[in-house]
Amino acid sequence: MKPDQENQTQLTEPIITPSTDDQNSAFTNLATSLAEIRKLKGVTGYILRSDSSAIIDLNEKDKVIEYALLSTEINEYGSTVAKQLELGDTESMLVEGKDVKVLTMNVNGNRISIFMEKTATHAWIIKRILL
Amino acid sequence: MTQTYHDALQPIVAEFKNICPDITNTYVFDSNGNTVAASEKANKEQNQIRVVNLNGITQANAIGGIENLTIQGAHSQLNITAMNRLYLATVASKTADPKIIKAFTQTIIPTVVGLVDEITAQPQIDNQPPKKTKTENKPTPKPELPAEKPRKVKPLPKPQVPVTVTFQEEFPKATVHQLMVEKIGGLLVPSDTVRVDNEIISKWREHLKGKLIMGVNIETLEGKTTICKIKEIKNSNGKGIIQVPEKILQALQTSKGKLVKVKPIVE
Repeated sequence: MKPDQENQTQLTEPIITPSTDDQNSAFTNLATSLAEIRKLKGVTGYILRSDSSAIIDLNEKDKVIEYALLSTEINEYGSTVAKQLELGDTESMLVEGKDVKVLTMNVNGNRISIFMEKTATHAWIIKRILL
Repeated sequence: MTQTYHDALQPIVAEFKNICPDITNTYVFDSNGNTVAASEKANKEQNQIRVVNLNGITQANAIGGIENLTIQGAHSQLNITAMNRLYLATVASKTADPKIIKAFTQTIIPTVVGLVDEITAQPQIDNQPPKKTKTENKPTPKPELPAEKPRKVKPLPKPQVPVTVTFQEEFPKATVHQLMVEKIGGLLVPSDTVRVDNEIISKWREHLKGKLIMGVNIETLEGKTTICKIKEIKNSNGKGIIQVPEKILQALQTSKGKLVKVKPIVE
């Protein structure tokens, strides 16, 4: 069941680093999907990174560096653990903190981290990204 | 303390694989990576515990610490749940029932850990013998060491709500009779009154030392109960039976010929 979409109130301005690879259509498509997901109730921001570019769109601007570092650590942790425990290719990782949860995915070499409130529905987001 | 956790968790962890074969590995470890409990297969692969240790995620405070972590792989999934000072890591196949995984990782094991924490938090008595002071001149005989050193247990707090006595007191079992139901009807028969043999009523009065019998509690063998007024059966053919009007029969969902337990209700 799709989660209800709230009316867009005030979207934060995303931080975009210029891409040297204009042909990275996967990155562009993901950026479009994430912009839609960003409007969903409970989603507080996302980080999208490829090898050459990145988009950061977070409600809490003062946490950009922390969230970026956290995103990197989660990705590295997930890669190591999945390899050691023979889990297979990682489809998604969900890390739940006290008030916030982070969904990280790796799609065609692009690393995605979506930050949301704990009550937000992440299952639909996974399906949306994989479409 | 670790041994206490191990004793409590190891049997559950070992048994869970039998309940849910989709769970392939289970570890319980502390923040230092020390194993507290592990499934049989996991025990043989100790280095995996170092791998799943969450110490590598240093920025966890940005989200208030890690409570739960799930990695969904192509054919297996890993779930790590934080439980106070311990972590539970579970590796399961992708097709594992998520409800069972959730019950195991977020209910059963954390509940046991919580119980162990509560039990071990009980204060213990200091068993050291009192030291002799200098003012004591007279030699005191050596106290005999007790065979068992008692543990000081906090007394249970007094209940906040005072216990009240209901109008229905406990009565001796001798006042409970099992009687066969007989249906009565008619215009002059009150629908809230049953009739019982006078001999039984007399016995009740004798056992209850003259207390006023307000009514009776009737209970079927299926557990249905009702309370109603009582009258005595005037003729002598009422032994072993209770005459019940239709309305009460319907309330009890019983019928003529069935057995019911009858006990008096006193003031």
